[in-house]
Amino acid sequence: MINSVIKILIRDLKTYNRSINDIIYIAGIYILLIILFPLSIGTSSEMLIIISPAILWVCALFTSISILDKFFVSDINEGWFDQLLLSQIPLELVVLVKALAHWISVGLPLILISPIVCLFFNISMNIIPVIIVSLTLGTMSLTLIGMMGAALVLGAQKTNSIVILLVLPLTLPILIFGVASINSAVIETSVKPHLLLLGMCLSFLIAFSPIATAYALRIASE
Amino acid sequence: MSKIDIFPTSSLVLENLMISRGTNNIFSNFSYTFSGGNLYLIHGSNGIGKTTLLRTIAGIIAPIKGKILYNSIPINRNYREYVSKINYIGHSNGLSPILSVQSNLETWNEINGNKNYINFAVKAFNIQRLLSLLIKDLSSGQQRRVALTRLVLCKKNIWLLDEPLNSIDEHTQKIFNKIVLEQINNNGIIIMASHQKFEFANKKRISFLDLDKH
Repeated sequence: MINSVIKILIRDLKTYNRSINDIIYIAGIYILLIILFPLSIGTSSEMLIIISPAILWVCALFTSISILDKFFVSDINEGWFDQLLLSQIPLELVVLVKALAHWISVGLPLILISPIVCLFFNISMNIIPVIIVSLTLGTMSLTLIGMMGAALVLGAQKTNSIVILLVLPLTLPILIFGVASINSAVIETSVKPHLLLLGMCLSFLIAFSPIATAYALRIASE
Repeated sequence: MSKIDIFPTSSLVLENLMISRGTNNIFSNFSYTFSGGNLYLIHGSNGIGKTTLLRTIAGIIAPIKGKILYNSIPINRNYREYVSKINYIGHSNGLSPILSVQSNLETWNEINGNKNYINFAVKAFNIQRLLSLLIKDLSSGQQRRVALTRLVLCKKNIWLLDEPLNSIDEHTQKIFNKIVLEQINNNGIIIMASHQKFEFANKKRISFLDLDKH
């Protein structure tokens, strides 16, 4: 079972990163979106430092949900999904592995470039660990929420625009706690409660999202 | 071909199935019995429900009414156990176009309980030359041939084949006939939807299921 799961993870990673272009696209969009703010507000502005946590988070949110349509479509078209349905591995586990693969190819690049991005905002270096932890917990949750949305809209036309409308409201708690955690690091109060809340969201989603996704996928594959 | 165990006698019974796609009722009261050691050829015009029937038997589509019994036990009572007996080859090959043949086969082997028949399947279908190539670089006939290796790769009792011989050449067809014969001799069930004429040596073991008449 564990070997099979690792095999599926490796397969998913290979198929997600079918070209280095996707990673460049994600990193590029993220950096470009973020650069727009210092350019339009001005780098010396006090306001920039105050709103920088929100900018980091909104851009991360937007980038990670802009490519949700890739989640299941090719697997279903290639017939791979039918094989998974008829395999011995529970579908819930399969989709959890898929979420992990998706996060490694989308969330991880965002987190890795976030320290560079902080330079644009003049954010002090000792806040970076908080940003990384908060983005890690947050992007994992966003992936799990997005996966549910992607599974629900399968079979509909223009899936990408529907999935964004569907998923965006659900991500608000993540955004609120995520921004609050970085904000409290900036004003030097305790970040722990916010990170704990983010962790709570993540652990709930790890338990709930695979079940909901698997259910939606079974309906979609009929 | 290696020696494989002969499957125990098995039966698959469809009882008063009602299946619909959207608002279109495809079957309203469909019953049929499949038994081990036989090949069933499903015929019928386009859109009559050949694929739907195969996917229902695989348990991917749930019937609105009626039951599917495997050895007199409803399949949804122990679905995981049931699917471990099923080999389904649909219209799409289940191959990832950007992975090599080898790595596609390895993944299949792994999710089907790692029985290590890879080398054996590769030899049976004569695809040694293709192993390192990416699926997207193969012709559609070659892709189908790789998909068919799954029949040997994962030994299963019930084969559900949806147009298995699409774009397949004569040589591969011969190999296919050989493994079909072997499966029948081993007491397996083969349910196959096909437009092509299928030459099969053992006429006694073949039944025709014409959906136009149901």
